[in-house]
Amino acid sequence: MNAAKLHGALAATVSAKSMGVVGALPIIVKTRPGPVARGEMAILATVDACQQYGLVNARAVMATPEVIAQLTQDPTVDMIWPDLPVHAWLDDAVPLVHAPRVWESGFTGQGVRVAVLDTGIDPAHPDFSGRIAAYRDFVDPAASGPARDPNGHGTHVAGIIAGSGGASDGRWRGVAPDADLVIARVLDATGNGQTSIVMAGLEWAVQQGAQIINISLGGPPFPSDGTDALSTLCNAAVDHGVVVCVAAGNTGPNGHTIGAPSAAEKAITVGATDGDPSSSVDRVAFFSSRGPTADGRAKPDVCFPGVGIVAPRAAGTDLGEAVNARYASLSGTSQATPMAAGAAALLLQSNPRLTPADIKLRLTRGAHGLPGFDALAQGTGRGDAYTAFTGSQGAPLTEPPPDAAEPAPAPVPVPQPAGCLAALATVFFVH
Amino acid sequence: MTSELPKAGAARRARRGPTVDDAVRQAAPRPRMNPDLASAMDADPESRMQAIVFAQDGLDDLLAHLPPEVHVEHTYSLIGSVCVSGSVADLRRLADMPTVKSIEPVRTVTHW
Repeated sequence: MNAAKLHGALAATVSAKSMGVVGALPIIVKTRPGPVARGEMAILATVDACQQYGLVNARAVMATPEVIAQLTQDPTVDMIWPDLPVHAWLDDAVPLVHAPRVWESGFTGQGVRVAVLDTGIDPAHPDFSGRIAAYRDFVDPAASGPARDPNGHGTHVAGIIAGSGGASDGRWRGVAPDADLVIARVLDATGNGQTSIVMAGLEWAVQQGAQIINISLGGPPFPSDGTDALSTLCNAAVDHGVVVCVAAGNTGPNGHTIGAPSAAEKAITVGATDGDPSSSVDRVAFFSSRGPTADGRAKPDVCFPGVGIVAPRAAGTDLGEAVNARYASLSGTSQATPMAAGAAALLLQSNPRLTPADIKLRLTRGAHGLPGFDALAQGTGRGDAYTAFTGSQGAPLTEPPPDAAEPAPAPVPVPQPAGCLAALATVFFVH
Repeated sequence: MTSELPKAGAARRARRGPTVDDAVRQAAPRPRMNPDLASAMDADPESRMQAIVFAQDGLDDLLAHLPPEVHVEHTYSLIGSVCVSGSVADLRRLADMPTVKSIEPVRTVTHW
C-alpha cells in the first residue's frame, strides 16, 4: 500500500479495517488526467462510481480496505480522500481564523456597515434580526415588499459575515456577528446575473455608506487583466475608501483562472482552504482559482476557510446540504470571501481610521503561509483575524504530508463559470 | 520581428510570465470597442444589446451627448460610465463619439 496517496486519517482507517473489520468505505478517488496505459485503472474499473465529478478527474466510490490499498498502487491514482459526512463548520471555521479572540477584545463588528452583493437575504432568519440596515432589489426593481432571497446563496454569505447565531444558540455565528448589513439583490433566483446590475448594486452600496463590500460572484474572461468595467468599479470603490472583498472563483486548480472582478487590483481577492480545523495542517481547496491574472499579477491575495461552511439557510431554498431548517453547508470561494469581509469589519471597528489598503495589508501580512502552495494559489496564506488585529505576522502552518501539497496542474482549456459548489460539499462531506 | 514567432513567443510568455513586449502592449491605448463586444455585434448585427460606455471627459458630458436612440439603464458615477441599451448600429456609432472613451460588454456573472 502507498499510504502517501491516502488523505489524512484514511491510511490508519484502511490499515485498521484491513485487520478484521469487513465492509466498504466511502471514498473519493482522484486520478491523473490524460491517456491511460494498458493495465492502468484496472482496479478502479471494478468498483462502481456513486458520483463522477467534472471539475476534477475524481469519482466517489465505495471500496473495501483491500481495494483501497490496491488503488494506491495504481499509477493513475493521485489521491484518495475519505468521503466524510457533513461537518458542522462555521463553529470550527470562525475559531480557526481566531475571530473569537478579537471578540474578546471587545470588537464584534458593531457599527460597521458591510454590503453583500448577491442573491438577496432572508430577512426573517433570526440570525439577522434588526441588523439589515438597507436592502434593494436590482434584479426586480419593481418588486415591493420585504427583502427576499429565492436562491439562498446571499443569505448564506451574509450569515458568514454577520450571522448572530440566533437560530443555533450562538453555535453558528458569523465572523462579525454585530455588523450591520446592506443588501443588494443583484443575482436572480438561479444565482446568475449581469455585470451591469452588479455594478448598479455596488454604486448603491457605496451611497448607503457601506464600509466593506462582499462580492462572492464573478465570471469571464478567464484570465482577466482586471480592466473590465466591474473590476474598474471595484477599484474605484476602494479609492472611495471602501474595502472590497471578492471571491477568487471556483475554477481551479489550474493557473490563469482568475476572472472578473477577482482580478481587480485593489480588491482583496480571496481563495478558499479546506483545512482540518482540528489540526494546524491546511491546504488550498482544489477548486480555488489560481493566478496569475492576464497581465501577470499575483492573485488571490489571501485565503480563508471555504469548504463545508455551515451558515444560515434562506427559508424555502435547498441550496447546499441542509443541516436543519435554518442552516446549510456550502463550499466555495463564496464562503471564504465573507470570512475576509467579516475580519475586515472587526478591524474597522477596532480602528475606523484604517484605510482599505491598511486592511488589505493587515489581512495579507497576518496570514499563515500554507507550505506546499505557491503565492499564485494561496496569496500570502490563510487569513487570521487576530494576527490582522494585532498587526503581527502570521506564522506558517505545518507542512502537509508529501503528496497532500498541490499537485502540478495539467493544462486545461478556458474554464467555465462553476457557480457555487453545493455539489462539492457532497464531494467531501456527504455520501 | 514579432510577427515571425507569434505562437512560439506566446507559449514562452505563458511559461515565463510577462515580458517587455507585454508591458509595451499593456501601455498602448485600449481599443475603444472591446473586442469581445465587437465580436458579439458582428455575430448578431440586427440585435439590441447592452453595453457599458466610459466617458472621455466626465459623465455629464457623456450624458449630454448620448444620442436619443440609446437608453440609459444605469449610471456609474464612481467611474464615469453608463450602461446603455440600443441597436448594434447605435452602439457602433457611440464608438466614434469624442465623448466616449471606451465601450465594454455587459457580461454574465454567477455566484461562486
